[in-house]
Amino acid sequence: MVAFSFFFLIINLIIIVALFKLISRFIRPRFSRGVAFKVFLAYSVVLLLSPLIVAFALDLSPDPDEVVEAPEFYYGRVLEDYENRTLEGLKEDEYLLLTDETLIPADVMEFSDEQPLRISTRHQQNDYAFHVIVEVTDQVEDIVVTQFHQRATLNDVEITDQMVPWRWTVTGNRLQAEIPQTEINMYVVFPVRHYFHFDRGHTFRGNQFHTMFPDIGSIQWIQIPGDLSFEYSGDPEFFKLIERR
Amino acid sequence: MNSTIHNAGSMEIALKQTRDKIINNTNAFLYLILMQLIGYFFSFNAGMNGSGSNELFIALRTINPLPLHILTILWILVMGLNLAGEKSREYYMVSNNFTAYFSDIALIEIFSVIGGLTLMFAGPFLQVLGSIFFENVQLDSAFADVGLLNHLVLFLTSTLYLLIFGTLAYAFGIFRMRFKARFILGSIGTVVLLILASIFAARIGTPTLSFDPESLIGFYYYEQRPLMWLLKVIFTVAGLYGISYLGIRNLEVND
Repeated sequence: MVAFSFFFLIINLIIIVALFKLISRFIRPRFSRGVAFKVFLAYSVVLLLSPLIVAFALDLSPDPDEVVEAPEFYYGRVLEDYENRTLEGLKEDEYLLLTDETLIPADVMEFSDEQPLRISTRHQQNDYAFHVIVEVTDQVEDIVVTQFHQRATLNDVEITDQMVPWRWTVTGNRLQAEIPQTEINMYVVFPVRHYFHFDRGHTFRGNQFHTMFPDIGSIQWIQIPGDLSFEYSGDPEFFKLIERR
Repeated sequence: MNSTIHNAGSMEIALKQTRDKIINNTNAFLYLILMQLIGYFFSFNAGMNGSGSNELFIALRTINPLPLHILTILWILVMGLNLAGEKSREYYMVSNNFTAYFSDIALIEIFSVIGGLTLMFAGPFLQVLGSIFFENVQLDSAFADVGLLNHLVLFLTSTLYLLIFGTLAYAFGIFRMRFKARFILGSIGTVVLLILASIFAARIGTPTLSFDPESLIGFYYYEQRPLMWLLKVIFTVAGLYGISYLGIRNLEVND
């Protein structure tokens, strides 16, 4: 394998040198020394300015200490003892991030005893972790949907705030969620190994993609007034009910 | 040897020649820019990883300055070959083999320092370029450990690596100049001998004798003791200087 890659490296080098020679034929006669010098001067100025721009204009420097990373499948732990959890408790949980809070007035819905409120997640093929917890409580008069995302990192950069929250909408007697696609396109600048050439304590990681998909999970906490009857249509596996009347 | 026409010592002539050669090789800096721009192109396309589902798609693109280093090394390889090939006595002052050799070496050193400087500043420049063109640019967490000293280490190491490659190409070019057609035959012969030797070594079965490129690169690149590294590099460069001087010593130059 090493021999093969070395062979390809040599072929690539030959191609690039040939390209270089070809280009140099075009450059040599056209540019005088003065022009070449000025172009290089401009390039140097741009290079010299860039650390200043990085230091004063860009806010790129990483701060791994500030990044909170939740343990794997943390939302699962929350669900294990869901009956003891409260909304306030989740809001104060450092491993969960409140991504959205929607208040749906009860009077915009049309339901009767024959047609109770139906809660459904429109997407039935969710393939990333989520859970719907319905808390029936007397503390609220309207329906309040609070969404949490487990804090997730991608190469030590927090991506939880880039998660697009679910869109909860009401039509008739249906309270339904639409799950918009979250698309995260991240560019990560990696340091070259030379920086840590003599740094024995530093283990150089190189280009690695370390996303933790076990890191990603969301909890939809729905508070419903106590006098409201409802049913859940969807996979019961992802549904929990808490009665606090 | 003093030039009777100019009444100047060899060293003085060599220094003047160095200056002349820099002026004459200003185009080298254009090539450097060109190569580094190609390097930036490859750096931005260093790699992409993506995975996802209906609801979630995560793409991570890596911006890695390593291609930039490789292309700068290529630049200095071509420069070393060019300098070795350009053994005309036409447009410098009174030239002999020593002054030509000295000024070439000096020029390669200047080129490596300039290359090293551009590489040191290329890191921040990559970040600036990235932030201009892309929205979501982040630094890898390893950057948290990068201080001023690390930048200096980057400068030192990349400069000396450039110097090694430059002198290597120069020595190669000098031998090509000296032996012309025989050089090709000689190199083929050497490579055949090396292959035979490695086969022989493998047959006899000494696993410690392995000549794979990784261990050759690792000999310098994975040396973490600063002094040992410096010694290895300095001895390599000195050896290459010596070889190229032997090659140029009584080289006949056709005008």
